[in-house]
Amino acid sequence: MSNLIKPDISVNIGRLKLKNPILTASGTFGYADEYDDFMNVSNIGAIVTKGITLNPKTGNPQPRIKEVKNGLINSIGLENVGIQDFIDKKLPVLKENNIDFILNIAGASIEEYIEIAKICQSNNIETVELNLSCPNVKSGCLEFGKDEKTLYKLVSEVRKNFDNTLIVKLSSNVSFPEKMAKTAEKGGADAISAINTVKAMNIDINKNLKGFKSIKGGLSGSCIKPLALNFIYEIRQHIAIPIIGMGGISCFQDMLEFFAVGADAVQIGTANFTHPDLSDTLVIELNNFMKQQNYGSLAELVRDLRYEY
Amino acid sequence: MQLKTQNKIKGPHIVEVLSNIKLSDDTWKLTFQNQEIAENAKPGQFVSILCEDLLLRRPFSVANTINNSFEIIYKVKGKGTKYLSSLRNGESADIIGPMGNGFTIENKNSLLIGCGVGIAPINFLSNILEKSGIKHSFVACSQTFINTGITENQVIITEDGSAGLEGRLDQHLKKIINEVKPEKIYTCGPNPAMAYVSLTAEKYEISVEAALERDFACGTGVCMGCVIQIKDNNKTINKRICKDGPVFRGNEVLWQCPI
Repeated sequence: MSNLIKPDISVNIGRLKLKNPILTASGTFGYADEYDDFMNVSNIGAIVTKGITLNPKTGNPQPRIKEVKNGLINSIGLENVGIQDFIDKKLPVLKENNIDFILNIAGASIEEYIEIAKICQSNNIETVELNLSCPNVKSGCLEFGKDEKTLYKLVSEVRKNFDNTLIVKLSSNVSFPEKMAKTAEKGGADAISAINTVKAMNIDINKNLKGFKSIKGGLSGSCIKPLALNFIYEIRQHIAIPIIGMGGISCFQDMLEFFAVGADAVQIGTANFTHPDLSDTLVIELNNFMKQQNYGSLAELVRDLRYEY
Repeated sequence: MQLKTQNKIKGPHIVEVLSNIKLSDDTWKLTFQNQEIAENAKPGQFVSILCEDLLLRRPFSVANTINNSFEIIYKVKGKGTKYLSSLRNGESADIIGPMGNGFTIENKNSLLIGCGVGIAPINFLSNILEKSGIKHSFVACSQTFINTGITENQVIITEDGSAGLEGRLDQHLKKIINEVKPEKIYTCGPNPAMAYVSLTAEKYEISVEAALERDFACGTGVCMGCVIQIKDNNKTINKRICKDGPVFRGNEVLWQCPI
């Protein structure tokens, strides 16, 4: 294999053909234009938008973020511009700049998810990621990802109203990951993405020892990587559809670990805050690595990494 | 909107430390060499510094630019600032910026009020106004004296009386306003101080620009972690301090703090 031939690092997720397997996670990359100062955003496989709801949401009160050791707790509460504003203002920017994207959608009821799915269908949105796992909103999201019956109903109803690629994002806050993954597949998901942030809490005891300040929210960052790897390893053998893995990826080695346990593509999340150019760097590093190791395609590399199976 | 697709104009830049000096017991000034940041930074803008072992970058207002270098002023409080205080000449740091929107510079008699490390962007603004020949006075308030280089038009207020006037800002502000008769006020410091400045200025019908701060996760406008409530006609809307600010008009901020 000659070093001059560009390795094929494309990957298919449902009908979505990604030019490379490196995506940026919902809520960590805005609507892409914010990262224009740090890279050519169109180099990335795809960006996953901030979670979009039917109507705009103002989110939770402060405090919303707290850094913990090797991690970050957030309680944003899905503040977003709403689907119509996304279509009017954000979508044209993504299209004009050839940025591949996946629209992350969230709802407070099955009807709301269906309504957004219909809007996506009529606006030719190619790929949707169902957010069933946001731990920070009082109704909806995580509740839908908790039991099989509700999950099946939601995914299958959205499927009926949306023909394009449908990704279901799962939470790790469940007792039987493989059951949830199988249910999503049965309901018609084209792919699974996992994991979302993990329910967590931070306590700061007041200096005078009288009481404490607290924040509850979703934990992300490198401290959740072992949980994420295990989750993906557990669901891989139970489903045939692709998995987009995420949870604490902050370097090239981390990405390979996710491929090894069963991910077909990855999302970079909190590490975008630390290294805003990381996803772009990983694309370059993956290309170089494949050339050095004489891999012609990503599939070959992934096959070798999963040698144990 | 056509994006620029110019890679890495805001970094990350690996920048060299030129000096790191103590201004008071716990307050330091770091000078970094970087032409792009020095040329582009405006008073009120900030840089985000990657601090050893910490997940999130820490934001610092640009405190001055000189030729190809820029300065920050910081108070040693936590792990991030402790790391900064360990940096020595010739070592390097990973920095992105300049980020956010700076102060609007107008040719008006201006009163500049910096409290604590909030002196940093005010110091930078004072230098720019000086170069532009815009009349201004600079009030520097702190618990104990922070020596940023005293200029003629500077009023120092220290709580411990270690320099200048003794006491707090609220004991002296009205008198200063009456003497200076400013048409515009710029401020940076703890929220209660900025809220006090804004409410006082409102009584005198003087417009205020305030540079705010809060813990940031991204510092680039994507995470929505740093939002504050801004008055917008009869309702309030969320704005991101890092991206929409950090400079806001004093009378548009819903100051949710005791003064």
